[in-house]
Amino acid sequence: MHRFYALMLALLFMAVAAPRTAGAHDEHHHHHGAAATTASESDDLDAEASAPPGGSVYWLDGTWMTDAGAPVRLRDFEGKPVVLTLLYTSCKQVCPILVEDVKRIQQAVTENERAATAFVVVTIDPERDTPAALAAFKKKTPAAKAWTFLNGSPDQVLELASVLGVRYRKAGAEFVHSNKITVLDAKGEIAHQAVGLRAPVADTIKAIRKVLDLQ
Amino acid sequence: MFAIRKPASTLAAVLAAAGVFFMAPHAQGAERVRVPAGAFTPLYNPEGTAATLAVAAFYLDRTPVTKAAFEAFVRAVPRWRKSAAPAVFRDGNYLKDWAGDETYSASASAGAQPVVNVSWFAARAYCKWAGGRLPTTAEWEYAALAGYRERDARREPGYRDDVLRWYVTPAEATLPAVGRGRPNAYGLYDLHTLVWEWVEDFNTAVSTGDNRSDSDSERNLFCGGAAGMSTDRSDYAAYMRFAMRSSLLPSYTGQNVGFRCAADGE
Repeated sequence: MHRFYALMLALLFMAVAAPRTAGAHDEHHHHHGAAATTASESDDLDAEASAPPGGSVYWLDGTWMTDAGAPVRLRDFEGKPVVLTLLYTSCKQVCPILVEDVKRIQQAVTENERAATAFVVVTIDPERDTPAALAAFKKKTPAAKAWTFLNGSPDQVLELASVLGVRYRKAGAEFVHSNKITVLDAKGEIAHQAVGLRAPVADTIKAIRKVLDLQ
Repeated sequence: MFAIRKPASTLAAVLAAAGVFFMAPHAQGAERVRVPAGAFTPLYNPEGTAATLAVAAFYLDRTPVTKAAFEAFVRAVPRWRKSAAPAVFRDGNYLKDWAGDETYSASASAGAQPVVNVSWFAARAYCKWAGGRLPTTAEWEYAALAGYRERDARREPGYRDDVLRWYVTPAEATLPAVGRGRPNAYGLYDLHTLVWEWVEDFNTAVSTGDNRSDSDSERNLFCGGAAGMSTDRSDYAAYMRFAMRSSLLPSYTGQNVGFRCAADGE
């Protein structure tokens, strides 16, 4: 560890010696675990071999907790079509309709297609929709048995929603939010979006099948 | 004066202790001012009611983030270089005006200009790297409510005229340097000039109907209830900002869109 500090100090001296530097080095982001913290730091996603395509949602590399309490990254769903929905469970009017919409998609594909597709629901209310609350919701929604519910930080939710074009805003105890069901392809790019409640499933199914065909 | 930032790690504390020699010059706009807590009625409120918003104390960059500062960021974080940033986080005009991946311009004097052609994602990443975050809309509007002397510019008629004059002034070919105008009562520069500025929650303007031509929503949006009915011309500028934010996508980059960073107050 001391050698690490010495290296950082040496680098900082070098950086300051150069013209036009910013003093933000000491406010740097946290060094996530591993030691690579130089200016040329790269994480998995930057390695050319495995980098997702530029438009992929999987560039969002935060860690989420599932309803089963397991940590996942969005990228863990890579390789399958993903039916991705944002909602919150204490929503009484609109979200149940959205859940029905996801169910209809699930029912419209064959059993094999269903097994090859990930159904993911992300809560926009992570404070109240803890993994345990999500598990409870799943329990009383039998059709959601094979779905993965995700809880993340408000920051992560905001980023994901922004990438997907889902708007939401807290209004008292409720949320006002737009309704979208997204299909991601095997590399995490948006293949299709069904906008609004009770959207017909045909185009969504077509998109899922297209992704599966390309496997 | 420098805002005090809590060290993010032991390493930072070690460096901060020795760090007074390594601090950046003020000119790069890394300086923040503390805006004390308060409450205000927004000049434009999409809810259409005269709701009061409470704002906790926070820190805000004195000026928009400069090209020089952003250059330091992309040198340190290769992910955000012009040629490397993933398409999901920015559109085709990201850092369009930059000479290269790590150079904003051949001319060092451009360094004091606000950085533009940056997306919301890029702005957030910068602010995180710089030990802060983007301001919320409420924070930004609250800070922007101040005149030159008063915390509420509605008490300074001349200030409103200056603001509106900027809206009718054609944009210059070259962006001026930050921090050249007159600061407001908090010591903040350029809130009403230079560039539109990203905020953290620009994305939250949701029309209350699913159908965007829902007549109730339109009435709320364009007549603005109490705020819209008033003859206070400052409302127009606030409405313009609201309209601008609502129309943006997070990956959008524009030659008139920049940002500044904020941090939680203590």
